[in-house]
Amino acid sequence: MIAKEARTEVLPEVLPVTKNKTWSKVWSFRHIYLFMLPAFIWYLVFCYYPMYGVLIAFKDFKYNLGILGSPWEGFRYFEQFLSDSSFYSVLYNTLSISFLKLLFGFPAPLILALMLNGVMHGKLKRIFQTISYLPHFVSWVVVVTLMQKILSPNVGLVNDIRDHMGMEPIFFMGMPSLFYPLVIISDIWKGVGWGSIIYLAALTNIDPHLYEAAEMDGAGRWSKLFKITLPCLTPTIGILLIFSLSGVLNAGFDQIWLMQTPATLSVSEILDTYVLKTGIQQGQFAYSTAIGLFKSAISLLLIVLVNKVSKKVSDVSLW
Amino acid sequence: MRKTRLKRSLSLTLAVPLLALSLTACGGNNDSGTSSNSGTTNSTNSTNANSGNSNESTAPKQVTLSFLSAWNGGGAGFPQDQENNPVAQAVREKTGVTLKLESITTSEVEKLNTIFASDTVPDIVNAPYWSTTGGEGQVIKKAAMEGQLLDLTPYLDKYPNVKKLMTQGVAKDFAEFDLNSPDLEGKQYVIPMQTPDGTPESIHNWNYGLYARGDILKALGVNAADIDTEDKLLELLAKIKNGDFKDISGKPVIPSGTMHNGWDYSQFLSGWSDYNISDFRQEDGKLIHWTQSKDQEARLLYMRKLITDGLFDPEAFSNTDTTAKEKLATGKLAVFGAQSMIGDLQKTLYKTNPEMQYELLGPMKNKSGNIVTQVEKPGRSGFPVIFLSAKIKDPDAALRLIDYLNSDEGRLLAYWGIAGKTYNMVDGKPQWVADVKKQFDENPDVKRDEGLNYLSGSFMGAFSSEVTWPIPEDQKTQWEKLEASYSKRLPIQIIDKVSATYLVRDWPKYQEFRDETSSLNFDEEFRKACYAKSDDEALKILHGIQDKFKAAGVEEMAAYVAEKAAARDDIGF
Repeated sequence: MIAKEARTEVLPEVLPVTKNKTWSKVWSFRHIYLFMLPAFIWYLVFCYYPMYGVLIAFKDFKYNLGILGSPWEGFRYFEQFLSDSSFYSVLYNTLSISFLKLLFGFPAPLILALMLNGVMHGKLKRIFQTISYLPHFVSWVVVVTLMQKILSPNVGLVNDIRDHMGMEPIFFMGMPSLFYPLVIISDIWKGVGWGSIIYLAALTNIDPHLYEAAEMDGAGRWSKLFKITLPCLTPTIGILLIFSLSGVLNAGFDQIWLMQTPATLSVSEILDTYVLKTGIQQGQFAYSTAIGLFKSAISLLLIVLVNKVSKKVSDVSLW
Repeated sequence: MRKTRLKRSLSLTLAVPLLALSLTACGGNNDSGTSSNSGTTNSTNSTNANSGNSNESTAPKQVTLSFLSAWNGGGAGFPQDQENNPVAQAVREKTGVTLKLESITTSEVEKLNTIFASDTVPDIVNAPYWSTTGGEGQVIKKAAMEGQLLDLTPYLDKYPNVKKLMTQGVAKDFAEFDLNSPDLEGKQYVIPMQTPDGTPESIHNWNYGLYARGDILKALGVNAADIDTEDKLLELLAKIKNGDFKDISGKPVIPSGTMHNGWDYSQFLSGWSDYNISDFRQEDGKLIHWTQSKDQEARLLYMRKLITDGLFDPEAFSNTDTTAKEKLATGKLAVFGAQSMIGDLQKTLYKTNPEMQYELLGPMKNKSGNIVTQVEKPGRSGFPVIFLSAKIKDPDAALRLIDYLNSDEGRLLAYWGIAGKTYNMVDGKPQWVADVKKQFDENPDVKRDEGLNYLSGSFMGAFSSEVTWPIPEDQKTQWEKLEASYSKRLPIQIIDKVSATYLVRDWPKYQEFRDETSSLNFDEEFRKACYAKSDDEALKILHGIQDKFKAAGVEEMAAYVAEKAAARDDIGF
């Protein structure tokens, strides 16, 4: 009754005399929209407005003329990049690191979530969860510095142990053959706990009656996993896989940049580090923007393709 | 109705502050970004500090200017109290200028590119200017030509000390082709710093070399002066490796290494150096570009041997300034290649473990059998420069400051501090007050915080304090004596010729060559090759980068330079 009264009280006042129903609705919820305004402005200012900067990729950038005023150069920098002798090795390294991260890093949060879900004791589960989340909040600078200290050939703990065992020290961070394993292990260590949150949330949505019914039919732990849990998680896995594939050219700038040494340069130069070197260090802003734009365009293409394939094959899609 | 109003009021009460908060947060970010860097925001603090007193009409206008020392680790000389140290106070009194100091701990060229691209050039910047064809100099030149730097030409007649800096102590060819490059169309954008006063004695000796821990040499029975060739060095490092020597915490030493980012590993390869003043070398009766020298193979293989035999710090090329200094301060490096680093060592290792004091090896001999040394032209070719932002609000204040600091009075203040407090004039020469000198000698940080290191290091040119105010032997600290002893053993070689590098600028394909080679980094490839799996693979990497230079036309360029040089008798290589 009160609600009805309120409605009759509000409607005549808030609805302006207009035929546009959308704007009427917006106006009626204007206070809620006001809350959204800061976020909208933030996106506009920091995410969309700077996007005009990609124009540099097609221009001969001059400080005094600015981005809009600088003369056009067409696709010169894209052609220069594609004919650059570093192109193939940089692309190969980027794809190698990304796919290896996907191969080993993508299932890790799922496995952790399933394992945590299997821990019945609530308190123990929370402790494990908290411990596994913590590395996510540690910056790559700290993580890599720790790795350097632990693995240092001069003062590192691991080499100290080797020394005590009469073995020669190893420059772990400077061995190309160890670079990918170190990248992947540290990436998993840092992200696995955080990545498992979505799966844990999805697991709580599975109807417990399904498990009860399966138990009554004599299903064991593995049967329940393969027949109930994983099929129920398929849409979540699918969506996350699409997201991951779209970022396949993002091999992880912070991590790689910090871990890179001259000794590992042949396997560690990726698109993002190459962009920084050519752009900020060599001052070739247009060239490096072209590389960045090339990367973004391929990523967009990938997300559209993967989404389409996924929709056709499994009915899981982003749109 | 009342409820609706209440709801609306509540919503607005919440929404408006949130909106305001988010907007001010954005504004805050923006401000902090610009205020630390932008000339436009920093040079507006123009209140007269002396208003009200009798000197109001003659007191200089009070201005705050931002200053960037674009040198990795350049903030080491900054006093803890930037604005109220005695020297800064005296400078403010004389010129009205207060400096807000900023420095970097990363790459110089990276910082310069960032400030120019983001249009956040501080009011005054001190940065490297070795040449306008590469590195920082090229970036500064581009910025000058594209309106980011203030043209100083109209101001020079008003500031005679600044005007003098533009020519005195600058090598003739460098002045013609770099400092006043034809591309700059007669405008002058940079002021040379740390240039000599025109006499050979005033050319600064940087004492680059290899330094070995004294106690280790003693234990091995090696005389530092005897290690003067690459082979003897290799032998010494092998002995150190097998000698089970420890650092101050009892951990094994690293036989050899460098400071940050591999600076200066070339000291280990000085056996293949020569007295060069250009990018070209004469080999087998032919002129070649340095990238094509056959010495590169020998240099690479020697460096690889040091690394693969465990004689060189594998982390040397990835050391930060902090980690490198930590290794130095703990005696971790048995041998290091760089300058003598006495400034850091006298505060650390030499205090805790004086027996470990490093000794200069050799000096090393180069391939001609001569002592590896600093090669200079009569004036300096390449130096730090000061430039002003095109957006500086008060260029006169900045130039007033530089002009004053380069006057007799300003130099006394910058080097000696306050008359009567830190020094006294005796027979027309400044002399430290005895107690003050004792404090400075015992703890160099006291001198720094008194404000006596930052102005002399960044704002002085065409001058040598050592020549003008030579310190009598009996007043020198042991560290000054030690530094002088290195300088005696590492004499400077002066070559009075025009660098062949400048001849290349007339080459018709020069711009094309520069475009083709702009993304090539020879040193990075060389370092990469040092860590390759095998010598063959390393040589493949080396030949790969050499071939890229060849494909860009480096041989044709060298032939052009040879032809041009043959027609003159004043060209040096």
